[in-house]
Amino acid sequence: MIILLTGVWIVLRESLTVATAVVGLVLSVCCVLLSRRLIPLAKTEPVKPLRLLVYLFYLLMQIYIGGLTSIAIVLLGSHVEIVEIKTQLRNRLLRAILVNSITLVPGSVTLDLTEDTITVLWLTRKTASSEELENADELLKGKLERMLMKAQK
Amino acid sequence: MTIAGEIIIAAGVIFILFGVAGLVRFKNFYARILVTAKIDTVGMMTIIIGMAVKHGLSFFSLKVLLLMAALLIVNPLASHMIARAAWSSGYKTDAQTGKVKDENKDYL
Repeated sequence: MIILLTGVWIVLRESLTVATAVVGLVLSVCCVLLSRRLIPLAKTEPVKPLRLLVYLFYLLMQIYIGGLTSIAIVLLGSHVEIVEIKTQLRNRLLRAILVNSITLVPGSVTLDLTEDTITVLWLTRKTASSEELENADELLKGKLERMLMKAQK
Repeated sequence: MTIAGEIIIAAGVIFILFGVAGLVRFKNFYARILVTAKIDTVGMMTIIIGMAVKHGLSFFSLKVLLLMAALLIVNPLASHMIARAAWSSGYKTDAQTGKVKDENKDYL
């Protein structure tokens, strides 16, 4: 975290000198120490960071696919549906990531998250068949959830 | 590199163009928020990536990429809050009300 914050500092200062790096390092340490009280890291459930990195790239791909689908919907006409889907993720951090991803992927916005049910506002084609509507689970979160499952420790 | 960057930026503008088209075309509040917020996310992302490609590896590119990271975190929160506020205050989708599009003028 300290290295990441120092990196951000150097980028924002637009200079790569020893002085900038040292000031950045000191400020990052201060930030981390001060925020440790507010964000108790020990209480968060562990995840595999590398898996999350892979997930990020997959998510970016999904966002573009969703964007193209949305263009098709703009051209063909829309049908808005509110669906409830279940998630099997137990880790709260990963559940939050899943819900945010669903919102980030074009064509779906999360409305509510209870223990294991996610309420999603979903934009489909006007001509969407009932079969597609029944498969909402798979279409909205299928692979995203499976990838997050792997990130669980 | 410059040309590649400009092509990507143009693609982003096209995404945004479709977002605006969706805003004009759809009359229901939910359809509007879904189409505009999302296509704009994609559009914005594409434009930022295009700018980064155009400028090559420099502090400017890194800065805009930082901006994109912030955008990716904040954007779902913003659209979630707007949609949730509408849902909590009882807005209904077209399917729930059985209304045809023209009757939704009060959403405007």
